[in-house]
Amino acid sequence: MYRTTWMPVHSKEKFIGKIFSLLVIVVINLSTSLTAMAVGLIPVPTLKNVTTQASATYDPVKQWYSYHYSVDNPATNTGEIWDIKVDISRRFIGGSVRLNPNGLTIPLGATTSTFIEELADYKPPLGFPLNQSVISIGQRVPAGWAGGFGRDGYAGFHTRSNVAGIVPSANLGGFVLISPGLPTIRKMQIIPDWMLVVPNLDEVTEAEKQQAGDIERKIIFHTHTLGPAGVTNFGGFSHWNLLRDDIEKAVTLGWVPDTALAGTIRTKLAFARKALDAQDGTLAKSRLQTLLATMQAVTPGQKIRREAYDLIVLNIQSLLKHTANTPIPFEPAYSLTPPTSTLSLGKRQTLIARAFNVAFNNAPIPSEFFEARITEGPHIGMSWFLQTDANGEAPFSYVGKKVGKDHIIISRPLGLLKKKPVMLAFTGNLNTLAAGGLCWADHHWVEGRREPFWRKPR
Amino acid sequence: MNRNSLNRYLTYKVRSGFAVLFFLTGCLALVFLSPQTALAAGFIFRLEIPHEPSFPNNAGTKLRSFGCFSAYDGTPLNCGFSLTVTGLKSPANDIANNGGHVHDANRPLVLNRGKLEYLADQDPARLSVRGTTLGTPPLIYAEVTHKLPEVSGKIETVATVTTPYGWVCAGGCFTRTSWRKIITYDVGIRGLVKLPGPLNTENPATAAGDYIKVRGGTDTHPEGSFGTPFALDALKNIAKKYKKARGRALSINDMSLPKGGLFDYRATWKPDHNTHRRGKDGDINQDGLRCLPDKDLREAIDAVIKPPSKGKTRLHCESGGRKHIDLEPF
Repeated sequence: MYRTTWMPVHSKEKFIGKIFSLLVIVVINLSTSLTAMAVGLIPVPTLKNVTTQASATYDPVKQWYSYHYSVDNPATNTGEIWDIKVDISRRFIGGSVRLNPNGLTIPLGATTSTFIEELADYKPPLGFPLNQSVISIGQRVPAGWAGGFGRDGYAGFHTRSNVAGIVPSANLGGFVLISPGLPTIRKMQIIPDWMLVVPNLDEVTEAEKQQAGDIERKIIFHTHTLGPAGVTNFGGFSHWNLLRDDIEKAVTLGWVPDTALAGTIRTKLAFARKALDAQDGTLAKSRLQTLLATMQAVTPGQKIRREAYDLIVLNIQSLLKHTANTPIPFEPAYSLTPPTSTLSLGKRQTLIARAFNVAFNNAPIPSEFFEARITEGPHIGMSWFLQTDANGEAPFSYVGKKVGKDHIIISRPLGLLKKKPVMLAFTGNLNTLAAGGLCWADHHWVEGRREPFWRKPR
Repeated sequence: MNRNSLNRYLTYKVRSGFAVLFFLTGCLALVFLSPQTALAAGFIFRLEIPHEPSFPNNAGTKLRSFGCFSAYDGTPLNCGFSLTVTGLKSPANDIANNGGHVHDANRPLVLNRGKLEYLADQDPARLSVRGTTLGTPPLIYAEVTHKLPEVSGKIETVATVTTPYGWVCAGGCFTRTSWRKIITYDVGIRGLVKLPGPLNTENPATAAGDYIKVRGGTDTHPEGSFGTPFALDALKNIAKKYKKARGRALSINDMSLPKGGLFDYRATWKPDHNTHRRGKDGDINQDGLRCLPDKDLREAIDAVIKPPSKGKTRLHCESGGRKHIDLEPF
């Protein structure tokens, strides 16, 4: 049993006590921050004033954008850059991608993998955070470096084992992201080489691990760069909105130092947008052409940085290509058939995802991208990236290898759900479109419980 | 209702003021048979559950209470009691009993080779205490605390209560004048799973296609690669990424023992591995590459278990080159 004793304290003593407590707190905070910079045997590096350059190009055949990066590490730094990360995250339900990932590859070091294979590794409980995924990307790297992406939503370029990074006063280019994603402004992290190294692993304390975690975050150099956007309805309102917002951000970041040019860009884009809002796509594109001419008359350099130039020009070109002359009523709907099925083990089940426009005679929607994913059941985690054909259909199949009942959903991002803006706003970014149930039996046919397989997007 | 549970039931009733009703119904025969009948009771305030796993650390304290009451009117009696830690549950070579430690000499059965704690009459040599059930007023029971060791395994204890002179036991009795119960403490962490590996050893002949290699067992700790399901998932994903990046399997060394707890890889019962207790830590063999330059490993860990905006480091190195991953869920 513990006994506590209390005694009265004079108010003056109380005041002195408070002052003393504050001093103690200040001293503790100071000492904490100092010790946080001194944990382990490796000195904490400095990494400041790193300069990065980015440019983007478009391949009309493959319909890919290539984002080229170079990084300059000033001589005043002590940190050697070993990891360069670019944000490729996207808000999304279903852990999926919309942009066509086919053909995109990632050099991982000893091997090269496809984006699809890499994405398949991220399954619960080690999947992406809720409502988040990554945009389809491929990568190219300079010699001695490797690529990849992580569940934090960043694509990374890192030096391989036993290879030096970008030392102070050095510059290195050749980092390339390839993606169907349109240019936008993205976060970038430049990370110097540092680790918690201790004399004896078995004596590391939780406090030291925490301090090391703090250091790992503090030494990162944060900046912005060009990177692929998550917008999928090229020429749609969200694409127009993104360009408008990105121009504002580029000006804020100092990417358009010439204020007159910045004003012209803003004005001309707003003028074109006005026509689009009036349902006149032809006029909107005509006005965009004048903005494009303005841009092409400028040389990237003092008035506008290469990043801003490529951002604006490539997006305008995409808007010119994809904005419809006359808007057509568009309300997409989706189905997945068969709704339920019961098969014996080892049999192949073929399913068909369909996309059609309910606002226009249920016309099939070609070239739509889906992801089909098994969200529950023995084959959980299997997924397929699909594109509808001219009939608006995208078949896919798999063989049942385990007994049980699979639930399959097809999903896509919100961008195309144009006709239900209120419902979209209400439901956030709900994206489940259709679901089916498959039941695999090991010996004989069994009756599968019927599942609701279809509902309209909310 | 068996004798034991009847015993507890009676104890509760007596202490709750229902003694009169009880004696009129259940114990009348006993009263006639013996003019002085005692009821020896095991647990009054806390019912211990045999085989309940307990976390092996300093907080793993088990409290046992001994009380003894008259079957006539519920009056507390001053009975004798003893509690003795008898050792590891048999057979001691069963991993379910020894927790993965196959070196039994001087195994701690109480925290830090300490003693059971009671006010008097301690017998450190036998890990035993004895006393009487009436404590300092108003306490009407005696309490013994058993601080569990940091080492996992099943520990057996024997609790005995003996009646005062002239009284006999009324229910759940061991002898006419004593009550006895053997209780096993299953000290350990629940739910640890073994990391699969080719034959649980590094086998160059079969390891070419593997992305993960697992430590071979040692004589003193044959099973040292257990972890939580999350840790194992994370480790497998890290290993897959590492294999793609470096072209070699990730070679896993010590994780945790089958039931966790202290992992004394030197077989000293001392915390050689200060961590490795909860199935959330893994050591990585150098495999020709020291920790600091192994950037492929760093990147693989980052990709799989990137620390959140606030959090601790996941990989740390020893200056000699050893590598350690913290696989706690984010």
